[in-house]
Amino acid sequence: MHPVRKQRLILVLLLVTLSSAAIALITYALRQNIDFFYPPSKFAAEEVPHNVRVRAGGCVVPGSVFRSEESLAVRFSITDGVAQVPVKYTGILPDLFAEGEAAVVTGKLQSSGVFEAEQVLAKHDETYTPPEVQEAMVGDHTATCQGAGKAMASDY
Amino acid sequence: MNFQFSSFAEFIEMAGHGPFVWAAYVVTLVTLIALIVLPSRGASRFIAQEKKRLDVAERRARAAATVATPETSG
Amino acid sequence: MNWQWFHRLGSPRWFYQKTQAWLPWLAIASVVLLVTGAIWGLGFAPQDAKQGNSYRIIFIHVPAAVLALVGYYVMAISGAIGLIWRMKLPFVVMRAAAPIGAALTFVALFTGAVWGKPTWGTYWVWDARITSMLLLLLLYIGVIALGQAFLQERTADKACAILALVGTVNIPIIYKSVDWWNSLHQPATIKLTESSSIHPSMFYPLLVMVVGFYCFYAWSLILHTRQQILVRERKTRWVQQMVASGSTRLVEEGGKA
Repeated sequence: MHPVRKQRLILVLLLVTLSSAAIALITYALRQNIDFFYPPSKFAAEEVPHNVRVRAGGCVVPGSVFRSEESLAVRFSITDGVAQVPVKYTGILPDLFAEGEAAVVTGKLQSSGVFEAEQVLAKHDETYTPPEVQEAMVGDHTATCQGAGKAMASDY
Repeated sequence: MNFQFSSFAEFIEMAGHGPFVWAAYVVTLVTLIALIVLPSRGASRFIAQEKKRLDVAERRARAAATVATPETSG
Repeated sequence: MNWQWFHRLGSPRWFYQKTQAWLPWLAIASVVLLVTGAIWGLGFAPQDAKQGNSYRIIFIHVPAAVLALVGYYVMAISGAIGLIWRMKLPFVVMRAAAPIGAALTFVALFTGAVWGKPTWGTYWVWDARITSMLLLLLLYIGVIALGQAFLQERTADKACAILALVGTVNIPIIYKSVDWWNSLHQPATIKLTESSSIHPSMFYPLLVMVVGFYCFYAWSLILHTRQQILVRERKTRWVQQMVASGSTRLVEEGGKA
């Protein structure tokens, strides 16, 4: 290779490396802010501020969903396998919201420890299966919070 | 492998998800067509424009030549 | 080492001549694959156990997103080759890749939004995956705008190449964002190292669509590059001959070149 071209190649590589390093440092410094939601274990560790708009995400604990009979109010708990956060919400839930599925809630943590949600989003996992196949794996039915669990595992 | 819907209406409806699914496909289709049509048409247009420019220049040169000829000859 | 073959690649005329024969094949392959994949995905693939029919958007969402990311590398690597070897053609390819990448990124974002509404319950959230994808769109638009901001083509090419190269850091961030941070977007379905978490009856149409999008990308990139070549090389004899004949087809004098 021609020495001038080699020099320009090195310059190009340097440009890419340095800019990548800069961005890597910035994203590393901001890693807390880039997380879309707090896992319940952060709530348990008292790392989440009270009465400030935040998001919490985790698996909807099977059997924890209680719907009010006269209004759209609903209560449920989310977990990351370490801790649980009780959530209160009034409104229409997304179609994919279900026990044993992941959900992300936006709202404020009350001093009582209950999370008052103003928005509930369903987080689905990355698996796609036809209904017949899904029914065949009955045992697996409740263990579908991989998406949420994985994101949280990478936190530690 | 079978067709998953029992009627065409059901296929369009997609159990309520129709508007979302079809919106996604239609917007994608329009974008993909644009990504083919725009450069092809751009190329032919460019050639046509250049040809026109060339023809005009040629005609002008010829006109200038015919005007110039009697003067020089006369 | 003999670099002659490499420098021949840098000749716009050589590229224009070579790709002419590829175009009909790429067009046929793209249309056949995309139509087959779309009909298969829309009508014949089974519905998803949880998401029902809304998941059918995956057959365009994933391929568009894949090509939006791959297309960025195409643009950046072309720019790097142009910077290092000062060749004309790589710069043209780089500039041609920008609008295609922008359009595919837009498609990925739009299809993601209309998929998000029936599944997540919202069109848009500012999570790491979606925000970094929006940044990708802005980078593509930045390259397009920067290219038009300079009067001198050479300066524009260099500026675009530098911006494209700096932006490459965003690609691994987009790809890994769902693993590195908590996000609403789910992790990747098609994995390179482990088995994919999608049933074969849904995976095959997706594969057809991904291959179809690759063919389509090549087709569109070649068309965009050829158009730019005509404009940039308009002063050359071979383009002037094409102008005189009024056709975008390059006919070699004396039969075989």
